Amino acid sequence: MNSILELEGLKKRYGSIWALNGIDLRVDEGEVLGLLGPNGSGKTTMLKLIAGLARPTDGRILINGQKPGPLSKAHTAMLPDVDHIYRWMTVRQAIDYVSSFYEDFDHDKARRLIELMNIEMDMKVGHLSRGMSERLKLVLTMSRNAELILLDEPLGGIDPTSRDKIVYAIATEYRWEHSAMIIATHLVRDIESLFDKVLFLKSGQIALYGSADELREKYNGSVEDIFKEVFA
Amino acid sequence: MNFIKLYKKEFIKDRKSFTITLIIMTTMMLLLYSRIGYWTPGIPTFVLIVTIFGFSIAAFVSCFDCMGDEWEHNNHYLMLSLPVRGRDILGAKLVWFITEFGTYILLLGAYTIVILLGEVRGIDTINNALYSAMAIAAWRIYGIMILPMLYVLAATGVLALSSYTVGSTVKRFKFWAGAISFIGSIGALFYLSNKVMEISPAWMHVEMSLGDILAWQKIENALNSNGVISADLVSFISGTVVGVDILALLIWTAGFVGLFFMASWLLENVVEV
Repeated sequence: MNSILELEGLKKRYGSIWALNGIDLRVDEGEVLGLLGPNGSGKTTMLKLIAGLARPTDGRILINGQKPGPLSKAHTAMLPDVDHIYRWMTVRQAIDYVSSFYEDFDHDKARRLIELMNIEMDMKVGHLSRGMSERLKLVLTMSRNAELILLDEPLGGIDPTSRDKIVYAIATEYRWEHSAMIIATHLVRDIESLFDKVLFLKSGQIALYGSADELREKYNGSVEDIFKEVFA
Repeated sequence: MNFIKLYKKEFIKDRKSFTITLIIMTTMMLLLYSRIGYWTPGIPTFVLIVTIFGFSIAAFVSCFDCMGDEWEHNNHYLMLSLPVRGRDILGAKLVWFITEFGTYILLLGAYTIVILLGEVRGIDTINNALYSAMAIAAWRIYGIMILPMLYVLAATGVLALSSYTVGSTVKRFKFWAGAISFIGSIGALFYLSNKVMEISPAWMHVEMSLGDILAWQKIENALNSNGVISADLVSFISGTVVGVDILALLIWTAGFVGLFFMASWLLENVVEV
């Protein structure tokens, strides 16, 4: 299988704190990686580095052989954990704006997702509720047939009843071939069915990494159970 | 192409406030024009000059805001995720800034001349010949000020965008990093241009006579035509010159271009969310 993402000795320091300290990782085509860890473990930092939104202190990142930059960004879709869409835009304007920059943006997918998420196209982004805003972010990310999809806390701010819908949207609209996805979350239970592999981050270092099924078998429990055990 | 998309976004963001500002400006001009002859002479013109001054300060603040807004509302996550070059992002912001404030200031300048000439027309001692000479001079001044004004706007925009970008490269003391970059860039360019002017050959120092442009001869003729006063404006006719050292101007321009590309590089390679 071709690798989509390679990290070698990845380190990131903020002041005197090492947010990431020597991460080696390879993510292959078709793989969904669960990036798990408590708050402050380095999940968001890792995704920012891969997305080219932050620079490593040391180490190397290759996305399909390219370092993070304008070229890799054309093939990487990132859902950040903050509301990053312009509040003055309508949903329609936001979709038009974002889609205009990406050749891999699929308007049919966007239409399906908008319907599934019950989002009003003419509503201002600033007027959307927190949950709706999260849904819009997911629509903008999942509507792309990107080679690498990075989701940072996709269920954050979503009420429990809507989480299934989000997970369903991720599962149905993800292009399983020629793509890879990394989902960073600490809400493991709702989304663990999607993971092929899981990586537990603890204080910027890999605490545990492996196939989700193998780990379930080895620890005789769900990924959430393993999460509780690792971070107890 | 990316530049156009980014520029369009800037336009759509500001189009309402832009249109409303233009309507308010025009309404204010019409109001002031209607007050000529009723208000104390000079007040309508003074109000517009103060407004231009106010817009110049607003322009200065606004060019920092156009980057600051992205950070304030976390939109920089989206801006920096786009597969575009730093120069496209900064270029779109810069060109929209010049478009917006260039339009405001050009329009206010034109309105000021209309009001000023309206007031001048009401002065009994000014005959038609003198009025038309003054009108020619005023509009010519307006014409020759367009390019320098756009240059100053572009320079201010580049300084603001580059210093904000420099400030964004650090996590703490952003303001101070930006302020030092702003003041340091101006200081360095002043120093360099002064040094260059010392060694600049004489042929690089160009002087342009404004005697014809400002229609001094016409004004002199008009003043003397009524026989009441005998004006001699020969010193103005030959003495109104503007000097430009081409080498110093090139240094300033190269400095601004350099700052723009440095900021573009920083945005692509150093700035973090």
